[in-house]
Amino acid sequence: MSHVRTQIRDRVETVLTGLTTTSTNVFASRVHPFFNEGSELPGLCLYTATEEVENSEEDAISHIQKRSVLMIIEGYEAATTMLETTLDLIAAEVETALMADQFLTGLSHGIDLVGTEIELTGDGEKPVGVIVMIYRIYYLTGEGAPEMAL
Amino acid sequence: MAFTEDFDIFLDTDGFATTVTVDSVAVTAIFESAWVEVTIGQTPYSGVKPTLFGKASDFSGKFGKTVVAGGENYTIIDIQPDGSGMVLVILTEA
Repeated sequence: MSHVRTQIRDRVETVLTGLTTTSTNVFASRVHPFFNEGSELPGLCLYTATEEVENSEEDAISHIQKRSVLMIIEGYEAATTMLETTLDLIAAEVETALMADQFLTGLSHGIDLVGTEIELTGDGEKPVGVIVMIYRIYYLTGEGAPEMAL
Repeated sequence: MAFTEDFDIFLDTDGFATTVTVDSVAVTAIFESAWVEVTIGQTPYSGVKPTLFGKASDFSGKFGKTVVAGGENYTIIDIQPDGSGMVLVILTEA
């Protein structure tokens, strides 16, 4: 077993693999750069960030923890034309796929899209852009039992 | 007699300079395409930054024009004078 947060990240990676624009270029917890002569773009990177935990007062005996973790999903592309349009297309495909499986096969109690940011740069041999989608994912665990979603 | 600087000595094709095409005109300049890490999002992009270094007179009015260098087509997106009569020309893939 693994932490439910890991299970959520794995599930989101599975859900997002095979989308029309980004295909199998889906990378969880990636730290290495994209290579300009590689075939990894357009691609998606996903990370889990801040998590908030609320210890339920109603369930003081069973010690249920209400958790909400921020999931950062970044769509990358490098292109000389239609860059921002492609980023929007990536976002449309991600949003549709995630909402179609918002309970992540029982791991989650819901997903909210918190916000989206787009960043473009011309620092390389071609324009590079990223669309950052920030999701809040809600899940429950028992206190001291972080590997089992409730 | 007025002093006129000879920029051609900086652009020797037996040295670092090469012949490129700027807006369909052959020009001698130093072409470089050095590695650059583009920082964007949480994952950097490992790219290159193509540039030309040449005489300002060869690039006057050439902003947005097409360059053929190293077998690739580029577009001029910036021309940066160094104040001495030479310019650094910033390129992007066409």
